[in-house]
Amino acid sequence: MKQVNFDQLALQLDEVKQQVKDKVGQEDANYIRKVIVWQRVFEWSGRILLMLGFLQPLLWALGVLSLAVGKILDNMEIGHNVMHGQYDWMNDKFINSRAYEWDIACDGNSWNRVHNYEHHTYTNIIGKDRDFGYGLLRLSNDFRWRVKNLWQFITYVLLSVLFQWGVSYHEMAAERVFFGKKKDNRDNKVSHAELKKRFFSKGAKQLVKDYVIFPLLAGPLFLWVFCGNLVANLLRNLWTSTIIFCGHFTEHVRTFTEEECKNESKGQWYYRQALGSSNLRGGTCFHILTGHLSFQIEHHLFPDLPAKRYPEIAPKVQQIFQQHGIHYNTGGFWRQYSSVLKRIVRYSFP
Amino acid sequence: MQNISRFISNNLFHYRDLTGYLEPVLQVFKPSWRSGYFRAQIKSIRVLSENVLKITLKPEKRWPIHKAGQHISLTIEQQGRLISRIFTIASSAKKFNETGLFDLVIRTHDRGNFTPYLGDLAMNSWVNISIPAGQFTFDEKSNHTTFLAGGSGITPFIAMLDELSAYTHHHIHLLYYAKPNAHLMVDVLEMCLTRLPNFSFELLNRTKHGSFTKYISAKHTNELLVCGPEEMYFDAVAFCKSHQIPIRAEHFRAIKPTKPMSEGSEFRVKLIHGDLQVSDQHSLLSEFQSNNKPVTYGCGMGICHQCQCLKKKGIVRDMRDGSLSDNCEELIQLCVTQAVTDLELEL
Repeated sequence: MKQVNFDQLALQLDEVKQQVKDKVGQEDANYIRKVIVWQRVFEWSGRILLMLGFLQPLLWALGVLSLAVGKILDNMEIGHNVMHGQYDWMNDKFINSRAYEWDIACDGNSWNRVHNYEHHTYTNIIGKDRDFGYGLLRLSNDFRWRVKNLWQFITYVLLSVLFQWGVSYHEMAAERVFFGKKKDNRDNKVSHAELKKRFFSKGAKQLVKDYVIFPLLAGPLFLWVFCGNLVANLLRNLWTSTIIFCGHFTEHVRTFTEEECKNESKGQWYYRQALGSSNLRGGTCFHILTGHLSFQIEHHLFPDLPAKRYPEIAPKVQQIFQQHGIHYNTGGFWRQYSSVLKRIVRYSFP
Repeated sequence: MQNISRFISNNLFHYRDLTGYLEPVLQVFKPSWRSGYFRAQIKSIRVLSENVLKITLKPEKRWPIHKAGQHISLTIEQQGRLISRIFTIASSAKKFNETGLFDLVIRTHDRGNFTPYLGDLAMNSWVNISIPAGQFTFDEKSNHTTFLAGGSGITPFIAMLDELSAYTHHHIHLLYYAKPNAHLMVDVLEMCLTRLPNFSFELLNRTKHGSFTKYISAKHTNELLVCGPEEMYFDAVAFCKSHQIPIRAEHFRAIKPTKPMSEGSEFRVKLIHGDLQVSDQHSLLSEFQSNNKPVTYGCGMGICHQCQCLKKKGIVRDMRDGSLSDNCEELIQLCVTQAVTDLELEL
């Protein structure tokens, strides 16, 4: 690792965290409740507008957009952040990381294990953070090139289209539940039987909800609703996948070896989080729709602070990074996204 | 009906009950509406004396009427955080029937996590309350009853006396212990003195007057009702046992850290399957592991929430910044918390 004064870095970032933690309160509680209300408004407007498609197809299109926004808010600004424990301090019976379950095929507990634990603890450590390339894409020279990498751009597009199922299957794939050689001495936190049960039960629930119950409730408008749900899910998948890829797979995002991270100090942990993430610039609505993952660096430094605080933290973090000569990876959406695409294409080849 | 609602909620909205899905929306129209709670509106807040407030609440219509002596859990939102405490109702069901209001008399503690904020509650704002609960009620069969109150433990007795009609034949004697000049609602007791012919009371303090046993006539006591601190309760139990007097009691204990952390103490952690002793020198996670208690864990640094559990009671210290938790129910992460008092956890 680069020669940075890690102890000072840890002290400065801890101070930033404490300053914000001291301010967290009513404003944050009101905010998350307001976002939930808006999520309900978008979801139900969407579901109603889908049924009005037979009057005017434009209404159907609006319904699809509205439902997609509802799902994006549920998954990103509410689900992702609540399940990170950002609002546990509220003592709310429903808005907490233990109780919350989201509108996506992935079982919340599985996501907690793979994302909250593995990804956030071992961010970008090759062999430990299974989110780096999701076991499907070669995104650095840390991985041996294989012939299948030649068509990994198509794999990426398919993964984005089916993103909720990719996330849902992620833990099962890593644990080689159905395919692949079982790893020796693997400390399974959950049995394969349990993983399968949760995968199929949550997945089936989503399929039945979106493609049977809601369309049936619409009676003769079955197809309008069925197709609307399908497109809304697709839009949500594409959006979430794109934002998440921009957070970790842009051109300058670094990887780390297990050796480098042995006996890591708090400062070194912060340093790895900083270099393993990248931000996106944008307006307030854009940040909300990304679940504030457009501040991926701040999110990785302080995953349990309410995400709406990241914009006020970002300038302080940037200043501290500058002082230590640490690259603060940020840029506009198109610049960052094109660098993600470039990276996918670049590592398709040996 | 409830099963259908649960099925719909679970399968269509991912919530264990529909009210959870709707709660933030309903709160737009009904402030402080919360599933599993009743709402109550603040009608008045009066300062009775230094550090003592009388709060009058108007609960919503579906709230079941209490019996004198029962308590409720009062929940307020303090800086976005929901915190609850138990308080005995200090007025009668009779008053509630007439006015739709009930009173709480609360001693505030400057360094507390709850009571200092009560005075700031706005008039007509909403708080949440539970259903009235508790078996500490007045038995009308007893002819000669002694009430033994300590500090703010006077409140259930005020409610009971308020409930009695002027024609009652009950003989009631109240022994009320408090610090000098800290007896609450003495004016109300004096009014009871004129209204109830068979009622009498004595204001006492432990330093000057000593134990209550000197003031109680075992011969003229059919039943003893006690409400006060734990020590008073234990003394009363011993007294009643030796004199074979029936006793009913409600007692309270202030839970606070007793020793500085550097001294090292052991605390009891109550779990659903067996208890365990833990040291305050290590994280709860490492204490659980060294006691071979099966527990899920992850990062060990408080970011992944894998070792999260529900603390039902007790105080813990957050090892990252040294802050102490509240005594109420809340989620904690075992890897970054240490016991500061006895705890009750739900893994």
